[in-house]
Amino acid sequence: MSFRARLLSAFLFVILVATVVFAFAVRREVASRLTAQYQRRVNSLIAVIEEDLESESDLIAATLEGLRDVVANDNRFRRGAVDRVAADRRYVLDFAGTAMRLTGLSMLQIQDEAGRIISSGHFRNEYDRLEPDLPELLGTVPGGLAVARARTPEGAFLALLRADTVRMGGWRFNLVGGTAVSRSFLARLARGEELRVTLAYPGGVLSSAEIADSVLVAEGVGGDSSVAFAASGDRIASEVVIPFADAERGELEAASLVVTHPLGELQALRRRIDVWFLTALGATAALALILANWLAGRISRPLADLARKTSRIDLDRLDIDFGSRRKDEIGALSRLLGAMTDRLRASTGRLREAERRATLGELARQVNHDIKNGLLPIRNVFRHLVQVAREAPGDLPTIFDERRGTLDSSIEYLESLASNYARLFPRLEPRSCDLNAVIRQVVSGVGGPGEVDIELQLTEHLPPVHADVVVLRRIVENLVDNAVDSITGTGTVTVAADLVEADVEPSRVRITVSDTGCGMSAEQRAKSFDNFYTTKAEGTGLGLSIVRRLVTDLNGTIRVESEEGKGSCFTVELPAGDTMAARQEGGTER
Amino acid sequence: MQPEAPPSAAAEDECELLPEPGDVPGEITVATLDPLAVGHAPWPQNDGERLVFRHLYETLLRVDCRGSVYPGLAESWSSARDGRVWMFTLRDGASFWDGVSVTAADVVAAWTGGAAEKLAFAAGIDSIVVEGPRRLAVFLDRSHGDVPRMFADPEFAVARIVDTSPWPQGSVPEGIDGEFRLRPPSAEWPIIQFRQFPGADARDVLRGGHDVLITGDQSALDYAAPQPSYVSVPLPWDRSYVLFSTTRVRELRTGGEPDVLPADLLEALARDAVRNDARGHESPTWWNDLAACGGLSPSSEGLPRIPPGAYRTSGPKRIVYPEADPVARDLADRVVALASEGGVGSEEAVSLTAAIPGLVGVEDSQLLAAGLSGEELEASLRYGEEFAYIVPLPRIVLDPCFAARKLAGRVEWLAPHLLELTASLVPLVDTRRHLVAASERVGLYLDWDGTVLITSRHAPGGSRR
Repeated sequence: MSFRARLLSAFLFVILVATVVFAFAVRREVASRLTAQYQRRVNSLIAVIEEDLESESDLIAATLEGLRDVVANDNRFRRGAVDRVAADRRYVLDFAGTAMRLTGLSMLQIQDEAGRIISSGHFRNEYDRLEPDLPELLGTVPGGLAVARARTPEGAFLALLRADTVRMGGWRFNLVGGTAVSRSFLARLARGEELRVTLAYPGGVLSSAEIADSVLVAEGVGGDSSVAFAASGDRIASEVVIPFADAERGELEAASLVVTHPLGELQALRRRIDVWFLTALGATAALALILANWLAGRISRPLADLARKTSRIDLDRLDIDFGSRRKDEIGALSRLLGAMTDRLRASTGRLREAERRATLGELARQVNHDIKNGLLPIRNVFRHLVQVAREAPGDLPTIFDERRGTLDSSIEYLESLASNYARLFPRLEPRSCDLNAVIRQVVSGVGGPGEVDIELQLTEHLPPVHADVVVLRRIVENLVDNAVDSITGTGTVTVAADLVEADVEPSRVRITVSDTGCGMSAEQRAKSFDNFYTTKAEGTGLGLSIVRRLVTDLNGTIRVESEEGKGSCFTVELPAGDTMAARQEGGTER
Repeated sequence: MQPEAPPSAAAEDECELLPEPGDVPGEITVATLDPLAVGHAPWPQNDGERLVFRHLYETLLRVDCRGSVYPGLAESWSSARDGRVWMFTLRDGASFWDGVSVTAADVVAAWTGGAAEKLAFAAGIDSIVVEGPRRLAVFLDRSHGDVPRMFADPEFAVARIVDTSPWPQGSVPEGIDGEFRLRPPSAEWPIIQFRQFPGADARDVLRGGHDVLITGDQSALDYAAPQPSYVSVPLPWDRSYVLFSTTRVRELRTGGEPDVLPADLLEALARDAVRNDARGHESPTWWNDLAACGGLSPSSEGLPRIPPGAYRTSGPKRIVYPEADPVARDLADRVVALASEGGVGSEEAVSLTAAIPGLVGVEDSQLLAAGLSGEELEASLRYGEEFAYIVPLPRIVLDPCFAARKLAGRVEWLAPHLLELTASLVPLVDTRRHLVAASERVGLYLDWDGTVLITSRHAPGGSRR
C-alpha cells in the first residue's frame, strides 16, 4: 500500500468513526427526548379525556333527570303510555324524538318495565322492540356511563349512554339516552390532529382519524374479542377503559379509549438526521480526501523526486542537482544526497585517474607485447635472410620474395597498431556540431560486407552538440561499423538521433545505433567496453573502449542493450551544445 | 254507429268540495308545497304540477270523480269494429293560446312526442289515423265497450311546443304567464295565482293567507283545524304505498304461495308507523283484477323475461324509498325495525317476514333503509337491484290495464303475468291528502283522480254558475 493510500485510509477511518458515533448519539438523544415528550402529552390527554367523560356523563345524567320530570308531569304521555289511550299513542311514539332534539341528545329511548321500547327518538319506528338488557346493563355499570350500539334505519352507531327511571301509575319506565360517539366526537376529545383517539370496542374500532384496513388487520381488530391498541414501534399509546353494554348478547364488556401519538414525526426527524448525517459524512470525507491528498503530495512528491534523481546517479552521470531550500527532513535528506553525490563525484575522479594510470600501465605492457609480436616475425625473417645470405647467397632473392609477405603483414600490423594507439588519445577541439549532418556523413561512407540496410531516424531541428566534430564522427563511425560488422548476411542497422526529455535541464541529445546482428551474451555485454576485448577475428579490442572514453570526455553516457542472436542497441546521450557552453561559461566565471 | 251523446250534467254534484261563493274574488291564490317546472308541461311529475297543468291543458275527454265522461277537447266520439276503433271529433273553434286552431294532427303530434312508444303500448294503441282537420280515428288492440277513459289521462294532454314561449301552448281559454298567474277569459272569473313553496312548512304557508293549500302534513291540519277562517276537507284515498319485493318473485317460481299481510298489521302500520293521514290498505285496487288486459309486457310471453337484478350479495340488504316521501320513509323504517333481531317478536313481525321471503334471518345491522332521489330510485327500481322498494302507486286509475302496463314499463323485472305482478307487490297503507281552503272564497271540485279543480269553470261539465 502506498504512502498516499495509507494516509487516505487513516483520514477516512478517523472521520467515519467520529461522525457515526456522533450521529448515533444524536439520533438516540432526540428519540429519547421526543418519546418522553410524547408520552407526557398522551398522559395529559388521558387525564383530560377522563374529565371529559365525567362531564359528559354528568350532562347526560342531568338531561335524563330533567326529562324524567317532564315525562312524569306530562299527562298526555301518561295517558298514552300508562292508560294506553289510543288517541295519545302517536304522541307517545313521537315524544322521544321531540325530547331528543330538544335536549340535544343523540340517542333517547323510553322503555317500559318489560324492556319494550315505547318511544324512540333515534329510530322513531322502532317502538315495541324488546330490549330489556340495555337498561339493566347500564344500571350495573359503575358510574352509570357505558358505550353501546344504537340503531337507526340507515345503520348503527355508537353512543355513550346512561339510564334513568321514572315511575308512573305504578309502572317503571326507563329512560336511556346519550351522546353519539362519532369520529367528530373522538376528534373533539383529541383536541387536534396531533394525537389520535381511538375507541376499540368488541367487534370494531372507531378512530378520530382514518385507520388503514391493513392496520386493523395487523391489530386483530374486527373479530369478536375486545382489542386494545398497545404502544408499538410506530406510536405511543395509553388508554381509558369504558364499559361496553352489549345489549344483543346481554353482557357487559370492556371498551377502550386509546390515545395514541404517532411517531411519524420522530421517524421523519430521524430520517432527516440520517440525511444530514450522510451529507455531512460525504462532505467531510471529500474534504478529508482533498486534505489527505494535499498532505500526501506535500510529503511524497519530494520523496519521489529524490527517488527519481537518485535513480539517475551513475558513475558517468554525477551532475544531479540535489539542492533544496526546504527546512524539513526532506530538505535535509536532499542535501545529504547532494553531499553524497559530491563525494561520489570526487571519488569517481580519483577512481578515473587511477583507472587512467592503470590503463597506461596496461597499455604500456600491451604496446610492448604488440610491438614484440609485430617485430618477432620481422626479426625471424631478418635472421632467416641473414642465414640464407651467409649460407646460400644465390637463393637470397628467392627467399626474400617468399618472406616478403611476412614482412609486409608485420609492418602493416605495426602501422595499424600505431594508428589505433594514436586514436586512444585524440585532441579535443569542442564546438557546436550538427549531429544529424555527422550521422549522414558517416552513414554515406559505410559499405557493408553483405546486404545490410542502414535506416536513419533523425529528429529534425535537434540542438547542436557541443563536441569535437572528429570525436563525434569517430563515436558514430565506430558504433555504425560495429553494428554492420555484427550482421552476417542481410540485416538492418538503424541510426536514430533525438532529444532526451526536452523539458528537463540540461537538455541532452540521444544517438541510438541498433542492429539486427548476432547480439551479445551477458558476459560479452559486461566486457564490451573493456580495452582490447573483441569478438572479431581481426579486431583490436579497442573500438568500444575508445568510444566510451570519447563519450565520457564529452560529458556523455553510453549504454548497451543486447540479446544474443537478436541484435544490439547502443545508446549515447550527449549534452546539447548550448547547455554545455553555458556550463563551461559558468565554470569560467567561477 | 252513431256518435254517443255527451252525458248531461250530474244531477247531484258529488264532486263539489266547496260551492262557488256568491261574490267572486278578483284573485285566488293557490299554494303548493311542490316545485313547479315549466319544462315538465304538459306531463306533471308531482302533485303541484298536476294541479297547475290540469287547469292549462285539455284531453279529449273529461272524467269526473264519479267516473262520468264529459267532452273535453273532443266534442263527440263514436266507435266501430266492436269498440276497437274510436273516432273523435274536435271541438269546433278550439285553438291554442296563440290563436292557432287545434287540429287532429296536433293531437297526434302531442301524443307521439316524448315516450310515445311506451304510451302507445300502455294504451294498447295500434295506430292513429287523421281523418280530417278535426277528426281522428284511434285503432286499439282490444275492445272497449265504452269510450276509453284513459284518454282523459294527462298522458294524453294536447299541447303544442312553440319557440316564442317556455310554456307549451294549451287549448283552454285561459293563458298563463311566467308568474304562474292564470288569467280567465272574462272578469266573471277570478285570476288564479299559483305559488310554489318547496320545502316550506305547511303551517307557515297557511299563515301567508293563501286561499287553497293541499297537504297531507298532519301537523298542518292540526294547526288549521281550530281556525274558523279555514275549512279542511279530506280528499279521496288516492295513493297506496306498496312494497316491491324482489324475493317474492323467486319464491313464487319455486312453488311458494305469497302470503297476504293481515289487516291488523296494515292498520297498525297506518296508525303508528306513518305520521300522515293513512289507513291500512284496502282492496280491491286496480291491480287485483287484470285478467282482461292480456300481456302486460311488450315482449313476447314466449321469451325469457328480465329477472330482478341480484340485490347485493355482500353488505347490507336495503329497503329503498323515495327520499322526499315521508310516508315511504316511515314505512321503510318500520319494516326494518320489525325485521331486526328482537324486533318485537310480535305477530306483526311474523306476518311481515312470512310475506317477504328473506326479510328475517339477517342481522339487524344488515337490513337498512335508504332513501334515493327520484332518478336513482327509478333506475334501481327498473332492474330490481335492491332487496325491496317502498313506493306510492295511484289508487284511482281510469283504466286498470293502462295503469298496469305503465307500471310494467317502469318496473321491468315485474313479471308480466298477472299473478306474478300481484306476487311481487305487497300493499301496505293507503294515504290521502286534505284540502285546506279559506272559507267561502272559492269553489273547489274534484277531478277523477282526486286532483282539486279551482272554480267550477274547470270542472268536468263546465260552470255550475
